[in-house]
Amino acid sequence: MELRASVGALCSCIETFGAGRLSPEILRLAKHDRSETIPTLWIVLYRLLLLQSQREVRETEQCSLETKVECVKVALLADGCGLGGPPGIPAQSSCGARLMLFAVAWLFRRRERSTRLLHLGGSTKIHHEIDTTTEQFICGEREAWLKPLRTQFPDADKAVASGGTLWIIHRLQWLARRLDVQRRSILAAKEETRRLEHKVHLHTQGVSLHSHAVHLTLHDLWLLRDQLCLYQWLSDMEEQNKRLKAYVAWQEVEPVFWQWMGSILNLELSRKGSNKRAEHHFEMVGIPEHGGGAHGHIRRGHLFGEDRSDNSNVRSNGLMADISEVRQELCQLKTQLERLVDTRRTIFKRKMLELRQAAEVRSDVTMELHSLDDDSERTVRQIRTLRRYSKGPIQLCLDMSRGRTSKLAGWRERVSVVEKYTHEGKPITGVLEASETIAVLSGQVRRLQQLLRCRQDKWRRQLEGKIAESRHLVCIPPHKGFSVSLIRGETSDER
Amino acid sequence: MFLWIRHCVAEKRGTRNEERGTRNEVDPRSLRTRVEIFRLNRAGMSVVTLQVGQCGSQVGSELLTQLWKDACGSVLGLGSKDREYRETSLERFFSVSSRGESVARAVLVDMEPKAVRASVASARRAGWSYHSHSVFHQQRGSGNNWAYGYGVAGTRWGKDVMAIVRMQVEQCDRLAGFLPILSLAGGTGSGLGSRLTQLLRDEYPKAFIVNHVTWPFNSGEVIVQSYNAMLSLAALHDAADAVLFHENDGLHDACRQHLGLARPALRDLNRLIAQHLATVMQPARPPTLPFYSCDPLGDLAGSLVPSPEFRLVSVQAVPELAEDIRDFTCYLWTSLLRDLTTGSRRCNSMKSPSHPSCVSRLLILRGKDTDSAEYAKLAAPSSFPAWVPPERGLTVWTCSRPLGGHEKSVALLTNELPASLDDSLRRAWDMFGARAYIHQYIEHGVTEDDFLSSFSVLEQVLSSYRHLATSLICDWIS
Repeated sequence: MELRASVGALCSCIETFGAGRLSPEILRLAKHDRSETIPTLWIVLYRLLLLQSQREVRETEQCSLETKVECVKVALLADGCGLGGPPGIPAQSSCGARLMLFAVAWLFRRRERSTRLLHLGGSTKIHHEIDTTTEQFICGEREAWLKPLRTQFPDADKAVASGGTLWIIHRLQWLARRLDVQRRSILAAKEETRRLEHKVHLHTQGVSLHSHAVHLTLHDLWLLRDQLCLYQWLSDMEEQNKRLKAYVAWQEVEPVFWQWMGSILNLELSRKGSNKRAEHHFEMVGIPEHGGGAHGHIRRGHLFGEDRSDNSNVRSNGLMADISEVRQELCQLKTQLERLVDTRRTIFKRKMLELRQAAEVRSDVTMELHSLDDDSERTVRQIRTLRRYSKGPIQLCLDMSRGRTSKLAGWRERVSVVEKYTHEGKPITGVLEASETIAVLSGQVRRLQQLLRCRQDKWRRQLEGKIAESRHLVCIPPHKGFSVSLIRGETSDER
Repeated sequence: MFLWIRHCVAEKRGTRNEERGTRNEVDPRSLRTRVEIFRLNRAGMSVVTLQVGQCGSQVGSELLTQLWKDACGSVLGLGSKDREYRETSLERFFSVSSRGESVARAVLVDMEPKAVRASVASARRAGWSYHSHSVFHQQRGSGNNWAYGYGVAGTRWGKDVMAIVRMQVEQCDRLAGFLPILSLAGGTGSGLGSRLTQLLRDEYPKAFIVNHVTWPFNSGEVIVQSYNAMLSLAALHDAADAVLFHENDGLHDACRQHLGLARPALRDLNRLIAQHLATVMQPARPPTLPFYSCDPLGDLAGSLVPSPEFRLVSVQAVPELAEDIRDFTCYLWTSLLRDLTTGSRRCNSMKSPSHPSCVSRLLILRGKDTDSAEYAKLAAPSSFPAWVPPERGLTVWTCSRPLGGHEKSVALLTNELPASLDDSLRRAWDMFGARAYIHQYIEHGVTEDDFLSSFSVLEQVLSSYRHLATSLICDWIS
């Protein structure tokens, strides 16, 4: 009766965790390695592992049994239970019911693990009113997603070539946009929560999680804000209460279950016959050596029974031998590794030295190249200076290659850019604008005018001197427009 | 918000003091009060309206007036549903001052004082007001120059305006986002409005920004309106989550045909825009939800803008009736929806079968018996591109409360290409090719490359919508 109650408590515990319905009869049949229990056990294992990884069960229910089997094997292997190994559960999902029962027990073997399941069970979908259609769309309805593409483009290669990729990009953009909107909504909601808490803190004596406080608690705040949240919270509390009750019931009768599991393990060992083989299975299934996994409540002798003590001794001796072998192998490996490390280190140092020498040579060559560049640049500048002096202080060059043309339309004309040089022949960076050109030219004109005026004064003075020397000479002064006509390039003969 | 928290605290303290001896007893009246307070508190998130330029000021003040009148029109004898509607609407667009007056959650910005002062005065006449610090104006306008508004005014006074906006945001318990209202033709609305939208995006990256723009007449209000419109649209396309638009030509036709106005004035057009926007912005909810949408701008952008490439949303609303014939009108959902899908008021995506460039739709039904409305035609999967799931193409919101004196009214928001975008872009290219008026923009810091990049952005938008149309046609053929 105690055993039945214990197994029933475990089944109800699993059910309240949200891992599906599991009857005690299935576990009893699994003990006798009956194959009809296997699908149910796979599903239960799959759901328990999903719950452990904090993923919602609903979203990934649609995958096939083979996929679930693969997932379970990988997860158990990662968890330390050697189901994926050679002596573990076979690749086919049609045999190994007893081993799967061991796997279920493995998941409940530690208190922290089962407590975690207690907290995670059914809690992944509460507290947030998030539209999960998009996520479901991504995860669960891949086929539905690809269906329009397949109907539109029966040939997949052609689809990719003729716009299918674009379609997928659009769909991804659509999904990204929806996710972005929802992310921003969630962020806004979180920000609002913080503000509300801050306000409550300002206007009360603070926010407390204790119900006996004289001010609003966080739960009060949530319940006041959101009626739907209130109902959801109540239902969640009820669910959690159920889970807790089932878990407490399981805790009370747990030792009996582990005793039962010990008897099943011994059955398995006796079936195999070989001690070594049995040892391997023992490791594989992973029932803790210190006492059947019942959190240390049950001692090993109690678990396996006194009549099986010989088996246990043999098993422990075998284990010790294995450990010593492994230790020797490890020592050998360590020695080999140290040798390898020394060799690699020597090679590495040699290579580093070579690289450093090569870098030094390279830097010398680079410096020489730089000096050569500087020399050539200086020479070019000198040549340019000479050329500019031969053609005047300023030279305007039309550089047609730097004109920009619009590639978008043919409306834009080619724009010429003028380069400017100083008296020393150094190029002035930038473009010589028309206004600047005019300014330069007008400066030239002014300079010429000043020169002309100087010459005129000089000539006038010389003329006056001559007049003063020869008194009999009559002087007729030039007319007023004389200087202007000279500037314009007209001669007195033409006028 | 403070009031209900204080009330709860006082209530809780009172009950604690009274019932300290009795353990864990819950007073049902107290619970009922809390639930009632919860209902009042669930009034929704607030929207800060940004009215930029002359058109923005006028349209914004008209919109807020209509919203305020609709919310506070019949205060007496309110049922619980009406009270929830009123609270939601007022919480969304107005705050309450210490004297109990409704103060708009809005910021008025213009470079000239005339339109701003007129808007403030009209608000006072209507019964609500702007916050005294929420009005910003200068003495000199932007001269219809986008570059001046964007480069000069935006740089010089952008920080001042953002300080005012920040003050408004801090007064909101829950900020849903921003609703900048501007026109595309002028200098202040288009230039400064674009700049402010970009500043908003920089400062509030998580908030939703839904712009409303008024498209200028095709015949031309301003000679450089094509430049201004293209530069603004390109800037808004990057910064805003959605751009709602009204075309002046369509509004003008509607005023003449349906309101019976021989020569509609700008005020009539503004009133019509405000009426359409009020139909969109007043509280509504999806038919499956028991309460109004808390996040109006987020829900709107989420349902209408499924992809960052497609952000342009046209707004249509019926009925558009003169006041003297409202009492003699028979309101039927069938006829209202027919008006939207056929006739002169239909949206661009339905005008020509060669341009079915519609990405998504949002239908808002207001009035009694919204369940009986037949809108299957709008939800036809063939109307939307294949990459939009059929059930997501059309979103429907309903509200049992009539709006604006109409027994029933319908608004349809469609993510589609504006009819005038192609023409405006072509005109802008032509002017740019002739280098017309470019120097006016260059002297305020806008380079030719800025023009080219803006045109490229809009060419890309145009191409995306056109490609959508061709892919839709392919879908139909297959």
